Amino acid sequence: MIDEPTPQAPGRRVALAILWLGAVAAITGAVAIGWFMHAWLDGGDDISIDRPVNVVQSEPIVSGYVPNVLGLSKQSALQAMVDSGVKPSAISTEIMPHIGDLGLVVDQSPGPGSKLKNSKVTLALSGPATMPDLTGDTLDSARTRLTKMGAKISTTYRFNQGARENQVLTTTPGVGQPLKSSVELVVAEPSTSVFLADVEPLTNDCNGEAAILDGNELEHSLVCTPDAGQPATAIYRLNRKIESFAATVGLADDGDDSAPVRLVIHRDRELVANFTVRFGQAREIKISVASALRLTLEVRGGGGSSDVLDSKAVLGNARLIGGSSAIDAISADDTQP
Amino acid sequence: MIQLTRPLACVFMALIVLSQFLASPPASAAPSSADAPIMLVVDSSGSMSEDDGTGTIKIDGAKVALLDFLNNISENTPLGLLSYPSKSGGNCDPGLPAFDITNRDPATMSAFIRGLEPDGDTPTAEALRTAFEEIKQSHGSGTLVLVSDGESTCDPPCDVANELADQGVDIDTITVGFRISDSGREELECIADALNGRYVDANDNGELQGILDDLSQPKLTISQLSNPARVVAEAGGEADGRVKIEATIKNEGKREATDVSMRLRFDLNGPGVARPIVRIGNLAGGASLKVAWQVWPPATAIDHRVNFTVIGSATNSPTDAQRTGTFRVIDLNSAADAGSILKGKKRIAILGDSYSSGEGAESYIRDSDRIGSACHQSSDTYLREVFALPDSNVIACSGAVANDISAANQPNSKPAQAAELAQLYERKTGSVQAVVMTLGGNDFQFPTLARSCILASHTCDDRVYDKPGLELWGGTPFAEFKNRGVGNQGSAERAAIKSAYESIHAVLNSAQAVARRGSIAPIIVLGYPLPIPLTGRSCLPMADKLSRGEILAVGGFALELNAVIEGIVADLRSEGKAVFYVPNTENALLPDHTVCDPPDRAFARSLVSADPAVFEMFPRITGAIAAKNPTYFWSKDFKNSMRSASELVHPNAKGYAAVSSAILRWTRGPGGQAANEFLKTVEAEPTATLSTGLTSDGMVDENGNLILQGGSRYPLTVDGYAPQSDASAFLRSQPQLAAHAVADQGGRIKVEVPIPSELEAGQHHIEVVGFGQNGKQLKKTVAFQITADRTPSVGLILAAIALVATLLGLLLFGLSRGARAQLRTSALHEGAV
Repeated sequence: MIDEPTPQAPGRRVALAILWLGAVAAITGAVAIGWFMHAWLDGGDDISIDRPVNVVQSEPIVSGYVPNVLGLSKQSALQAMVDSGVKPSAISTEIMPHIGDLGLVVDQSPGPGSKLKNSKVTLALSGPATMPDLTGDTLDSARTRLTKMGAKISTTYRFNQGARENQVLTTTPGVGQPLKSSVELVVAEPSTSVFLADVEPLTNDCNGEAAILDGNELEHSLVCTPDAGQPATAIYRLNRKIESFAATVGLADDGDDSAPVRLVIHRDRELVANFTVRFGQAREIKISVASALRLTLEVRGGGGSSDVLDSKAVLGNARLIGGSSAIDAISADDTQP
Repeated sequence: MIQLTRPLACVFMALIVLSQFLASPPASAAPSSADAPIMLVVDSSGSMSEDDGTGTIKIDGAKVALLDFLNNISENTPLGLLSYPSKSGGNCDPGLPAFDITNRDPATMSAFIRGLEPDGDTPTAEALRTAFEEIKQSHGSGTLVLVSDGESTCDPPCDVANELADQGVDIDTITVGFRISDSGREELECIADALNGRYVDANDNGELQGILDDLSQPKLTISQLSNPARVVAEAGGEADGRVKIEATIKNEGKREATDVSMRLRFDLNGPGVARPIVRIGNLAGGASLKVAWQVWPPATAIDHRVNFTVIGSATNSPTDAQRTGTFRVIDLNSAADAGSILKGKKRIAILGDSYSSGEGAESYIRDSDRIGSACHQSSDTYLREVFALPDSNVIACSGAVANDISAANQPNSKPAQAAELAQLYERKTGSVQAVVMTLGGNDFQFPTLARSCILASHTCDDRVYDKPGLELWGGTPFAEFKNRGVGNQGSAERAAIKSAYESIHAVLNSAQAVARRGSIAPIIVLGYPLPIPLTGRSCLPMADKLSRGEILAVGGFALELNAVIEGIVADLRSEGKAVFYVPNTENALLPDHTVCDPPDRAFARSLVSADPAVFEMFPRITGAIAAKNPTYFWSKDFKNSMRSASELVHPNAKGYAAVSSAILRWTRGPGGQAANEFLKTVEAEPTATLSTGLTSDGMVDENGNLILQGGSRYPLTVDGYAPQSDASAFLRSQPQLAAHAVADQGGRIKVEVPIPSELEAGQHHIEVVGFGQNGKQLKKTVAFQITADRTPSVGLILAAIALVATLLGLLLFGLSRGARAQLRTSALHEGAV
């Protein structure tokens, strides 16, 4: 049996259609109103001004003093200068490389606020700019120079063996390339260090502990006591990334004061130090270990004989020096046995 | 974002920025802390082995922060480190500094930082005392930074701090609570308070690093930035057209920022150089400085949003401080933007002189740009385009003086301006709804002064030469020139100008006109726009033509001229006349659109763009060259030179648009609103009854104008005067006393007014001046016209005779040919027959 459609069904469909159309119309209307409201409130397109903004004056022009004309067009700068009492014939211009629009005052001499004494005024106007060769300059020097050229500078630090801290290593863009508004400088980071006592050695006969040398407490020391006929040895992995090894070397104040010991240091297989350590004669050592894979420290009894006991060789505050990434890697390296 | 094309962008050169330092102490005045020693006191007790809340062990985070600090700090900063407790001493032993205060040496010092191990108690007070002594002994003063994550377990730190404070050592103390308990924080706060320092919270190692960064390097921020959200384009240097951008740069770090500069940049995405550059010098730690710029956006930025960035940088700061802002440029220069006094007005007449006729704007209308006419009238004069006024509404005429309002200007073949005003619209939709005008400059010889300053080889701030070519003859001392005109309170020029306004008012607001219009119409008198810089800055491009002294002379004269006109207008208003002065227009070309500015920026006929021949013309006219070459006067060169000379120191089309903007601003502002209110109090000019003995049909033309004939006498009756008071009747077109009378008991004056036979055709009026019943002066005016002589000219008669003769000749010729032909035909017929 097929039911007769109820009389209300067409009416309901119509009502639903009207409702649907009404909803669509409401949404469409709301979108349209929103759009126009947005346009009305927001005020149209953005506009950017890529022309120079002229400074009429940076401070009330005071006759007899050099006005601030930085950023001015040549015309406005001359105007301000003449208004301050500078004779037009005393004003000269020169071109200085600078990013952006050309012909604007980017430097002035004498500087703003100087008293005029019949002196000549030189205005540096912006001209085409290319990246200068800053390699080897200090960061401060490079920054000053680039800032004057209108560049925004970002700095990246990188360790470079042999380079001074904050020495410019490379630039982007490269030398001679057109200068852009942003310049990236790669500069040498300062050396950093870690105590050997805080580094896992490959092999170690010494103890990391505080020691007193010549009356000074050196909290982060390696104390090595050679056994009879058997040197005390400590070997560290350097991964060819460590720059140098430094320490204060001597015999501990609380050890045997009569028997000197011998310290032998190898950089890989290369002997780089071999000297006698005597009581009360602590000395600073700093040894290059650049490109070395291993550092081997060996403390032998005096002259290599076996009759020396209780002499404690101290490598006070012994530390490895290098770039932060290498030192951090060495410090965190727990793979060494 | 729309990037403007280069040519379009050139228009933006009109952006003017006035950069100025506002009230702030000199940046370098604060004491420098660049090389002051820093002693770091770091808690390495057992609790530092706990997590800092970010998954990092506290001591590890502290090591990273300290190593970073060590790398960033100035090479010249002496540095010391004390970590407590001592690993070898007792629980309350703070130990010795890992390294004493000494020159920064990362290669050595960093190992000590990496070697920090958390263990033991928290002898904060003891460590504080040790570090304090280290600073005191080594340098005498410095900065002490104490970082701790817990409450002291030994001596009470607050007591120790108070004890140290009593020593009076200059030590800047910063205590840092590293994810610390409340009681621990209270201890550190107490230490900071006792030592006049400050306490800072560090909730994780990142915050600790930030705090230490502040110590190691300058930290520039733009702490405040303010600017209006909307601004009107090209508002002549007035407040509503100015974007004042104020930015405060602050060095929130401890280290002095060196060679700090502030820049304002409008090209956010492009590679352009931010400018203007404002060099501040060094900025000490904690110091701030406010810099302000003033920007007047150009009309080309209308309906756009202008984004800008304020950038602060220092040579030793790793990052620039920057903050962005935006403002929107809007246009309020349409008729719809007018205030009530001009809103909806469609019948505005422009009267007066060259600053109203549009001299300098080109687009000259009718035949005004021809040799022999000094009356340039331009379609680009003010308000014409804004209100879509027809050219015929520009009644103003170059060179017009006050007398030209009521009398015809014969040299220019121009009728009286008041007469033209009366005729305007009368036949169509009603009388004029407002008059806008400039007047008085020619009366006070402003053109003479300008010509003398620009064209004469001598300076006009000393002597004024009426004709530059005659300057060797002497000239008038400037002071005398000024005093006999604009500087003379009782000068005839002032009376003439006042009378001119009265004449216009009589026509504009006659009872008949007011009845037809239904309201009083205002006369809006504009201040002359200053064509030269207000500040007396040099006119560099034309320094040889207009010196700084001359600029001051011209500017001073123009300001005085405007003041006089404003005074006359005020007088008239006090007498109940609907005359108003617009001061805004005085600044329409300022600050940098004057004759002294480059042609692409100037809103006036720039001296730079003036025809060079102008500067030679006057000597040539008066010299032998012109005498030898009389055809010069008919040449195109002469015409161009004359035009260029006339246009000097006048606005150009952009300048008149700027004047329009200034007028509209005035209508919207308090001045315009007050004027609109005042209009409601003004009464129509009283109707004077003229009884001529003739029929009214003969007296009044089809437009309702009263028509009189020269050489006749007309009885005039005027009511409203005090009984038995004296009154005088003046003819104002050619000022003269016409009659004198005494009012009768009813206050009525009956007098017979003689109209001179030589009175020129055009609009005139009779002014009856007496005293009203309230004792105040009462002036009533009746306008009339003298019709033009309708006697045909001799030329016309001759031409007519010639025409008639020609027609007759042709007729006779035709008749004679017809007669001959008829005779020939008759003869043939006769022969045949």
